[in-house]
Amino acid sequence: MKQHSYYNHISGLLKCILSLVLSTAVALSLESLGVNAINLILIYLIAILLTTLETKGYFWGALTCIASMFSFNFFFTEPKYTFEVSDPNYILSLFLFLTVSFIASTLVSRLQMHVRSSRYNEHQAHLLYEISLGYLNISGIANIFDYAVKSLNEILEYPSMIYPAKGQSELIRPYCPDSLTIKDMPENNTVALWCLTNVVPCGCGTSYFPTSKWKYLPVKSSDNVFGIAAFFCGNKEISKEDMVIIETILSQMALTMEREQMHDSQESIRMEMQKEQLQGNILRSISHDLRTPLTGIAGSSNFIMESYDRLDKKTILGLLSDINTDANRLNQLAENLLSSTRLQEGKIQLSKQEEVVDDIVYEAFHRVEKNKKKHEISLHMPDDVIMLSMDGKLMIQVLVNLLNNAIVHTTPTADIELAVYRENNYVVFSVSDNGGGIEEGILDKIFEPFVTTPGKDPDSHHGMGLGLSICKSIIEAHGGTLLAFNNEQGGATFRFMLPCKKQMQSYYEKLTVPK
Amino acid sequence: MTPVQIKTNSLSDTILIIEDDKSITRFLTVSLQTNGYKTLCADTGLSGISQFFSANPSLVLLDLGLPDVDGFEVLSQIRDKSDTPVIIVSARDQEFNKVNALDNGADDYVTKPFFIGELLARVRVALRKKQPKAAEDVFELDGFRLDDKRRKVFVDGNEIHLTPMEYKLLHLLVSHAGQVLTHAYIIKNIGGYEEHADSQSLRVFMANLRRKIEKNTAAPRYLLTEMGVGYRFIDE
Repeated sequence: MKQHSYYNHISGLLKCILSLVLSTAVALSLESLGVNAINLILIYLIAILLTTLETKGYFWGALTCIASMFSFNFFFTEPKYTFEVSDPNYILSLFLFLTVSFIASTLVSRLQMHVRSSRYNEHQAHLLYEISLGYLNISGIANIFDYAVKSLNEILEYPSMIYPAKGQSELIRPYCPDSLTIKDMPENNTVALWCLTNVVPCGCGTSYFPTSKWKYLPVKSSDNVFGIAAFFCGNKEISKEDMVIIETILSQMALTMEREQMHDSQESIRMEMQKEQLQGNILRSISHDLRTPLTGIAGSSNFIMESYDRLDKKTILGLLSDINTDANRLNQLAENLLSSTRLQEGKIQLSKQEEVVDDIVYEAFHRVEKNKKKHEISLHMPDDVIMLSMDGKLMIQVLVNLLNNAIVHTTPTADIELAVYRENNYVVFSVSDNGGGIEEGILDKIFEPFVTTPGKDPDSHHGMGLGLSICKSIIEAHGGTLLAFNNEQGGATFRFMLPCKKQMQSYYEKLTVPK
Repeated sequence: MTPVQIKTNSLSDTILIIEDDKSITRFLTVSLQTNGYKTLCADTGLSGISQFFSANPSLVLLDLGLPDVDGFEVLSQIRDKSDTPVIIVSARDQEFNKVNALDNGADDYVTKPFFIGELLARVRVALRKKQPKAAEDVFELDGFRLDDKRRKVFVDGNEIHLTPMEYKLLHLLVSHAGQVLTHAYIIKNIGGYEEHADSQSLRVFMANLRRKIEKNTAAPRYLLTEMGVGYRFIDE
């Protein structure tokens, strides 16, 4: 800045001297041609106006005026080459010249200032317009902060940053331009915090904390403070024009933030409604799913009690086995319900632990074994011990659901295969059968809640269609993906992959060779 | 230890059932009596404790969710005075409950709903534990043979090569065959292993051990995992 104004002075002085020399030279040559002194003085006037146009402010114009007067006096009035004036008329002329040239140069310079300021205003208006256009296209709180800081730093010559507010008394790490070095950062954010709690501008240039090198302004709407903007002003005050820009950008930002919050709250209301709807659906299908086996249990047992003497052993055993099956189904329903109560706000609360994959598979296999009819369930396990970080209970539930689905939705003689193998940094689990596959129509929505088909076995009851959607949520919460497709064996395959950390691998290698 | 015959006539054994649900009590009573045990019933924790001390049963089946006091309280009162086997029968299926019960002196833990066959097996194991047994060098069961004198293990006649660590683990489990041993119990009892003494490496050891002695590691025959709780070597 200092160098800049120094340069301005030099160039002003040079222009001033140049115009004086040029106009004197022109006047001298015209005088030798016999042009009279009154016309010569007008040459000087032209030079003054040109100087005023070419330099900034009044100063150089005024200087040229005075210098011109002395120069005219020196070269062209009698007695020549002295500063004395013999003719009183010339004294009047000189005085008038000075007045006229002053007025003219003032007018010109004022005109110039108007042009300059209107050009500046136009430029600022254009910038602000572009900035406000930009706000329209961004969403997400972080993006809004980023954008505001970016536009402030583009327009202003000094660095600025914005602290997002967390609640009414806490600030988070500020958003600041990359160019801002730690050296320039304020040492602590006490002033910013004060600004947040009092919602009043403070820092340099204000009556609060005037010694701070930063100026702090709250970013606020009518009833919310979204953050604190900080501007590095060093020792100078921020100009009024800059303040207008800053305030415009900050109020635009506050508006956008408010819009964002409104959008968020609408979204959460919508989610809430959806959740309520989902819960309603769940309750309806639960009561249906509870009632069906309960009807069977109550009916069969009641029938046995009342007609015990008239029934043969075979019939009683048949009824008892039905009761047993229904009771098992109720138990499975309870398991799934327990898992789904952990589905909170679409996210599962995982309690992850390193688990041996064998144990998980064994437990799942053990639990479904009693449900299978004539199905042949084969297992393919990797040769080495794989440990994975997972929520064991939920992962067992996933395998149980997939295996049970394979049992229920296939013919009673279908083959089912559960395979686990390692593929690069993933462990792949797949449950396949050859029992008919999934209908094309529901293949793409099979993981949505309450999508279900009647089982292939006419005796089987179909569930409430929650199983697969729970599986999908569980797998996704573990950072994996669950896929369903029809395989080449004429059945369905459900496959999921879980990431397996490399360092874990070396850990277990170290442990499995105890010498 | 020798291959075990299933007993059906241990007439002297009385079993105390502390359980507040009437239909479960009745179902347990009928099943146990049919299998030759005498039964006593208590539907509150306090009456359970008083019946325990007055009747001196051979085994207790204890529900954790009782109307008056918590089952854990009953367990600790019994353990204060006696070594009588206690099997927890509870609907609480969280692992910490199981581990807690086992580490506080319960002999076994059965989760509701359960199959009566499974419960009866656990009862037999617990009662057998009570009888003083001669320390025997050979344990044999369904093709599995552990010879402690020669420190050798055979499955279907083939010798299995185990590391000293694995043998130690296996011996510990076999000498408590039928019982669930918690991770904490196992780690405490295999000593000289403090370096890696955590349940995570224990599980890796177990998985490896199982690979050596089981034909199908995902459907094991001898060495069962109680998820999140511990391990059990089967005994019948």
